[in-house]
Amino acid sequence: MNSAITYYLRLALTNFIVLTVLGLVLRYMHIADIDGVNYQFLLHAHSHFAFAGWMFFAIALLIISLIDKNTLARSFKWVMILALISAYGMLVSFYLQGYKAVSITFSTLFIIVTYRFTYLVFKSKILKNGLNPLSAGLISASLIFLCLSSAGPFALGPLMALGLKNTPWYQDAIYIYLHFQMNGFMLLAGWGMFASVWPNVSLNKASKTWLKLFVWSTAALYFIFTLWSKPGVPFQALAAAGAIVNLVSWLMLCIGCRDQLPKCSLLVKAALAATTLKCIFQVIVCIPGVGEWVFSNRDLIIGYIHLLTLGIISPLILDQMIRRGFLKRSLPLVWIYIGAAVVYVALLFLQPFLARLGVLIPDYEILLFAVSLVFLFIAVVFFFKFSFKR
Amino acid sequence: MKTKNLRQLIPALLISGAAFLYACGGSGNDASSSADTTSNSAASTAASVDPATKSDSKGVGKFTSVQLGPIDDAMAEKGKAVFTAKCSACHKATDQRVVGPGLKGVTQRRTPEWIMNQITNPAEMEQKDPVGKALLAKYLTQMTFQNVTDDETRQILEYFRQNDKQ
Ligand code: HEC
Repeated sequence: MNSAITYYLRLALTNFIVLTVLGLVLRYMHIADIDGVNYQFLLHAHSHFAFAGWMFFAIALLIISLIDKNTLARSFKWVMILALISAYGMLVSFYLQGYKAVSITFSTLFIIVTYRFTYLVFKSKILKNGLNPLSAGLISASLIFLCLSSAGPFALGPLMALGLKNTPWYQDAIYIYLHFQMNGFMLLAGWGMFASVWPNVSLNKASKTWLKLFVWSTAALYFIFTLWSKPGVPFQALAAAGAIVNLVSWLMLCIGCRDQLPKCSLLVKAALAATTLKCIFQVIVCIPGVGEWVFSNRDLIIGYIHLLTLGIISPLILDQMIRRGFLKRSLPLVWIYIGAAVVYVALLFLQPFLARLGVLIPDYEILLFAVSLVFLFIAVVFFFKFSFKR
Repeated sequence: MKTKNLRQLIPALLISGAAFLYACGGSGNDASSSADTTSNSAASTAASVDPATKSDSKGVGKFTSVQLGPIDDAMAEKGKAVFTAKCSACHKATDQRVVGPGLKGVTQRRTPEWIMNQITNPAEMEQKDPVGKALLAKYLTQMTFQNVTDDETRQILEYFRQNDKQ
């Protein structure tokens, strides 16, 4: 039973292992030299593979399995196969030559795959009939953001042609992709899948409004990613409004669901805490002056990205896999995972603040490397916790 | 139900659409940079200079003349601490690149003034200095000002000098 979906989900976990290896090598390059490996190319390989091979791949499969628990329809199978090809294509081509024709081709393939996936999910009517309104609202919004994210890469060509490559718009276009992929697609889909397990949540009027506000403000959060270039008061105001509404609506949604939340798994509780932190950070970044400092700080940016990916999205994916019986439950493993994620993100966030005070975290790079090693270990153990029998 | 879902998403679409248009349509903003910038800006203009070779440029910025004495180890020690805290996310002190170039040998290929200007004024260096442009074209990432004081900058230079003597 479920052989195709279980098979592909196990591939997703394989990709998770590959991803942690890439991260590990990147961290290793900070403490020792590796001849012949281009750090930047490897970094691109790591991030593109993470988006396509782990996050999209796993989330798409979990959404598909909401639609049909028992079979993987042919059309979806093609989506998964092409997603896999694009993920590995990007991995290899970014690693070998960076942002060039081949990698752009695979990236474009990935974008087309995401369109096709969105179309198929909307066509399946699951959003209308199969899910509670909270889950359906979050997942449909997430898919629309998924498609919107491609506006970023598609704008790069015209921007270049208009001679705007040297301006902030170019970087802002890249941030469209990052923002709508991570905050838009992955985060909303993750919480949407989580909410799908509640049989009949009917939203009261207030919760409906908060849900709408949460989704809209997610779009407005994009303005935070323009603050690095000091774009002026209107942008600041929009970013701040987005961040505040996002935080408030998130908290109100949590309060609305307060009866269910205490029963959540540990992974979900971690994701709840991480999402709340993320929403708070977003408000802080909007304080004039703070944003510029934050964006000039590579560790903080990388910390924010990993707060999202390691703190929110991956826990929600793993929780779904456990809840639906694909993965065997293992509390110690979950604790190790959460511990590693907390240490990793805390290191990246703390170091820039301590550096301002002239304090250095001893063996900082080695610690980050050590935590990356723990992630590889966790990924491998999760792989062996995979269960074909459900 | 479905139409309702869609209806609630239309504003989201509009907001993000506006964000997108706004982002593409704006006029000249101050082009400071972001930590994770991956723009190939100077790629076309800078083919003439090879960033690996020696240059006598003093760069663009406030440092026009830096007097060097014998290497001050205490100062270099301070510089190393600043470097570890503020630069090591992107640079190593060996000849290996990570995000930015490996900085072993940098005092041999650049003037002291150039190095101090690069540290304190990277955005302008990437736009105006021939070597700065060539570096950006090669590394495709902008270096960002790391809030270092002039004293710290001088300490880092001392650390580079010490690092290059070893
Ligand atoms: C966000 C990453 C980043 C940070 C942080 C950073 N740099 Fe850079 N640096 C770069 C990049 C990328 C280049 C090459 C491209 C360019 O110059 O724009 C570079 C170039 C340089 C160069 C010129 C190297 C050469 O071969 O001529 C020096 C010197 C330098 N950086 C010093 C520093 C110092 C000192 C610090 C800390 C105060 C620092 N950098 C912080 C990314 C960074």
